[in-house]
This record gives sequence, C-alpha cells and structure tokens, in this order.
Amino acid sequence: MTPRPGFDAVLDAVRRAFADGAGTPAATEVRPLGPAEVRALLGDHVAIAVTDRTVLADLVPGKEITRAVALAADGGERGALVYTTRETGELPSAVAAAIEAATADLAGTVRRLRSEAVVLDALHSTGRKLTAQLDLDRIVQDATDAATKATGASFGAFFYNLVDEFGESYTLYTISGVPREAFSRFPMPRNTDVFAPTFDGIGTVRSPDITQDPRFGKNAPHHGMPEGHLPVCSYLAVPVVSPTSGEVLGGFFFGHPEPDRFTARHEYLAEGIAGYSAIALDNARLYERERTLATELSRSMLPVAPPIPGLDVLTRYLPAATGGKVGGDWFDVIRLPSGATAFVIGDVVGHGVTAATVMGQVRTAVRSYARLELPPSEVLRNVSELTAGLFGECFVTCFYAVHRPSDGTLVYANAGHLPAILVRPGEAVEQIGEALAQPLGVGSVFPERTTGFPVGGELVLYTDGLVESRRHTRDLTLGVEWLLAGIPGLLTAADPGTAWDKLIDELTRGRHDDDIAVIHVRHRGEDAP
Amino acid sequence: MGERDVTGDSLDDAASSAGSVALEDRDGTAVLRVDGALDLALAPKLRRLAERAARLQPELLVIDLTGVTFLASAGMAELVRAHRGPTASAPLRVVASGRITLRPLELTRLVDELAIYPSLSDALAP
Repeated sequence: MTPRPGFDAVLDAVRRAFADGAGTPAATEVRPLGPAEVRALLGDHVAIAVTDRTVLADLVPGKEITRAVALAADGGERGALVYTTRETGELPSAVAAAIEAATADLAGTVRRLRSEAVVLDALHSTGRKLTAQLDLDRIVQDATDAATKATGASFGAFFYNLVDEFGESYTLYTISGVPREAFSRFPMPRNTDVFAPTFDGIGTVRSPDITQDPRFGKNAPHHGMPEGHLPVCSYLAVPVVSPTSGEVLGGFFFGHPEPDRFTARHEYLAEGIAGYSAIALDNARLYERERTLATELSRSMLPVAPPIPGLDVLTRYLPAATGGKVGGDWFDVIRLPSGATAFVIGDVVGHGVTAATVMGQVRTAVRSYARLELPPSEVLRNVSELTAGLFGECFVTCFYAVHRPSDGTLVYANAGHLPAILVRPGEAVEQIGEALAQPLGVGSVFPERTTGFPVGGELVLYTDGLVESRRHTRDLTLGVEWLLAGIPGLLTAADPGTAWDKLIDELTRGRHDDDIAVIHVRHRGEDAP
Repeated sequence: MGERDVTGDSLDDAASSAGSVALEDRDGTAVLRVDGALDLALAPKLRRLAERAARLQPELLVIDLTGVTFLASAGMAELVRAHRGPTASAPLRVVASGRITLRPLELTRLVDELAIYPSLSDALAP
C-alpha cells in the first residue's frame, strides 16, 4: 500500500513548518518508516516530535539531527520521519500536537471502521463455513468456537436439542474456551428463570453481572451456580431458532468472570453466528431426514429371500455409506407358480426418495410380469414400456434370470446391467449376459439367452456400487476384474456370508458412495423337486 | 469462451473429484466439454448446459467426454436425453476414447444409437 495523496500534503505542510527563528524555511529531509518503526516511534499517535538522539541516530546514522517529526499513515502501515540538521525553533512539537488534535477524531473513526470490518469479515467467514457443511458435530463445535472468540468470552457453550429415533428429545452441548471436564460435573441447565428467555426462544439476554439479576438464584438446590461452576459474572445468552419451523434448536451461552464485558457489538455478533448456526443445523437435520427416509424406504421394499428348494440364496443390500445417493438399487428373488425361481437385480438412476419410489414401482412391475411367467425378454420389454410411460425419461438397468429346475437351465435377459457371474462345477468363472440390451426406459428389444445351471453351479448378480468404488479406482473394467478374482475364494469359503462381507469391504474399502446389492445363488440340488 | 459450471461444493460431500462442464460455440456447433466424474453430482449441470446449448439452435451438438474420469449411469441417461429427449434439437455426436467411457456405453448398448467419435476434431469434421 502506498501512502495516499493526502499524506504527501501533510508531509509538505510539516516540512514547511520547519523554519528558523526568523521564519525562514529550513532545509528538511524525509526518511520513510516501515510498520514496525511506526509502531515503535508513534504507538497510537499520528504525529509526534522525536527528540531522543539515540533513536534518531539509529534511524538516520551519521547526521546531526536538530529537530524531527514522525508521522504515521494508513493506520500505521507506513510513515515518515521529517527532519532537519539546521537550527530551528521548537515548532516540530507544536506541529505534531496540532496534527494530533486535528486528526484525533479521524483516527478514532478509522480504528472503529477497521474493527467493524474485521467483525464483519469474521461473521461472514463463520457464516460461510457453517452453512456449507452438513456434519452436525462439526457445525456445533465450529459455531461455539467462532462465537466464543467473537464475543471475547472467557468461555462459551452451545446447548442444542436433538430428537432420537424414538422421538424423545435430548440435549447435547459443546464447550469452547475451557476443557469439557469443567462442565461435565454439572447438570444440564434447566429451564429456570435465567435460562427461560433462551430456551423458550424469546430473545437475547445480556447482563453486566448476572449474579445481580433479579431472575438469578431463585432455584433449588443451588440458588445460583453450583459449587465449583466456572465463575460467570458477565453473561450473554442467545437462542438458536430454526428459520423454517420456528422451533428452538438450542442456545449459545457466554460467560466472563469480570463484570460488564459484553457490549452491544458482541451481542450483535453472537446473534449473527446464532442465525447462521440455525440455518446450518436446519440443513443438517433436513439432509439427515432425507437420507434416513430414502434408506428406510429402500430397505422396507427389499425382500427377504424366500427359501427355495435346492438353492442357497444369499443377498446383500448396503445403502450408500457416504453422500445422499441412497435409493436406486434393488434385488428380488421370486418363486414362480411353475416351480421356477426368478432372480432380479437392478439400479434406478437418481438418488434419494425419488429414486427409491421409482425403484419400488419398477420392482413391483417386474414382480407382476414375472409371476405371469412371461419369458425374460417379454418381462423386460413390458417393464421398459411401462416405466417409460410412467416416469417419462428414465434409465433403469436390470438383469433378470429364471432358473428352471425341471430342465436345469437358466434363462436370462439383461437391460443394460452389468453381466452376471456364472460358475459351473469344474469350469472357469464366466460372465454371462454382457451388453445384451439397452436399459429399461431406453431400449425396446431385450433378447434372452439360455444356459445350463447344473447342481453345483453358482450365479452372482450385483450392482455397479460393488465395482465402481471411489477408493480404488472408478475404472469399471478393473473393478470387475477384482471382483472376478475374488470369486473362487468365496466359493470355497466355509461361511459365504462372512466371505461376502469381507470381499465387499476389500472391493470398496468400506466406503462406497453408491448403493450395493448382491445376489449369490448356489445350486445345492439335493432337495430339488 | 462459454459458461462453466463446477461442482465440488461441500454440501455434496460425496462429490469429491469435482467435475465440470463447459459450453463453447464453434461456428454453429455447440461443444459441451465434460471433465471429471460424470456422475449424479455433475449430470444435472450437463443437462442444464445441454438445454442452454439447444436454445442456441446449433447445427450440431458435440458432447466431449475425453476428460471424463468416470461415466456413471446418471451421465449416460443425460446422453440419451440430449440425443432423443424432448429438448434435443440438433444431431448429437459424442466424443469418447478409452475404456473408462466406452465400456459403460458398450454395456448399455448406447453405442448402438449414439454417434461416437474418437476425438473432438473427428467429431467436428463435416
């Protein structure tokens, strides 16, 4: 930053003030000063006469300075030393005093505006940080830290209400400024006279000395603060109220052992942070609700595989572990009237409640056509027409396979889904049904294939979440290779359930951001009809 | 140079590898260049810009997937939409090279109906 033109004018005026006894201007020189020098020489002053010889000799070595004035500019970022080596009158100190007097108000205003700007910056960056995240624990801790710092409190706490899965409300808190243990021995603040305005969401309470407040000390057993409580004299409490529901989400409490520490400014800041916190908490709650709803919906629509004579059927469904992408995958195992069994696995594009509801309808449609014992190509064609008509544009991949124990075959069709894995006794692992047709809602022809599925055969159907996990690579080709490599170990495992859990964990490193569904069918055969 | 939409806002904590879509007008051909993971997070942006491109009434729409690191079903659904959806107005050419993008297009047999080119210059050639 360069000194503004105004500073040059001041410098000129000061230089002209250097004159000898007769009023003749004396020759002056100017030495620029850095911020550290300005601070050392001037402190909070704008202008000051410098008389200390040692100081002057340090600043301008080798000169016999007779008079000098130091000036600060740009709030102390820069400055200048105006000096002369001639004999002059006592003018410099008078000049410095005059500048000081003239600019005192201005300097105060600048300081105030600067601190205002700092406050606004702090509030803004806190707001941005808070409202850009959905992790409840981080939101509340960040908010408590920011507000405690902004109010200059010696400690701050944020008590917030949550509702558990049984609909019971409970309260948690975060602490800033002191270790958590400092609070852990005390009961949660109750809705007493002092706390009521905060917990009822009525408004901010700011007190220079809460112990003198008429509402203080009214309640048994403590009649005031419990013994050993952090000393609170100055007190500031701000409710956090949901902007959408008007519900009181919690409250910020700030304390200081000294009286009269919280100003209207602090109150304004704390209220600002409380406002941002309310938005952030609302976001987090809504997000969590949507995610839970989609998960519950998907789970409720997924079947428990019925026992099938002659077959061991193992299924897995894992809703997306990260992000809000739950909802699109499904599987189904359907016993058909003829004694055949249909296996379905699919994936609806989209996420959340919308995808989950579309999935539910597509699943029912597949089930209905399956029970009519239509051939796989007909089942998929009908569902494709139905879904295109119901949902307009949609994109649903689906693998549909029917095992007929009567002739030991598997008849299947595949609408844009990943191929299935088939292992026949004594043969290599193979993939079947690759790229047979376009997805449901897109394609109109779904060719079917027939293959043998003898006793001892194994069939694996899966969705892309298993092979497109972010932690490894998003290269589908590699993902499928890794899955295929894991199959032989799985088939010989004593406990296939545990083996699958282990394989899924290996393939996804426990962090899949998409749903995963798996069906594993083993043709046991001994009790086949 | 046209407009650019970048994802990766922390509200979508799974968005991680931020993708982007840029729209460019090249002498009557609208080129949509997609970079990064074309998944659920980025698909709506591709749709928005494809619709914006359609309003420019280009003679040809090119979607360049050269910079795509992951092609999810959600992204392929947008390709189908740009090809034959209600707002599709110009012929679509898709630039895809390498298995990251080609493999999913093969498995879904979208290669049957989408005009696929190995490079942008091939797609822009008359």
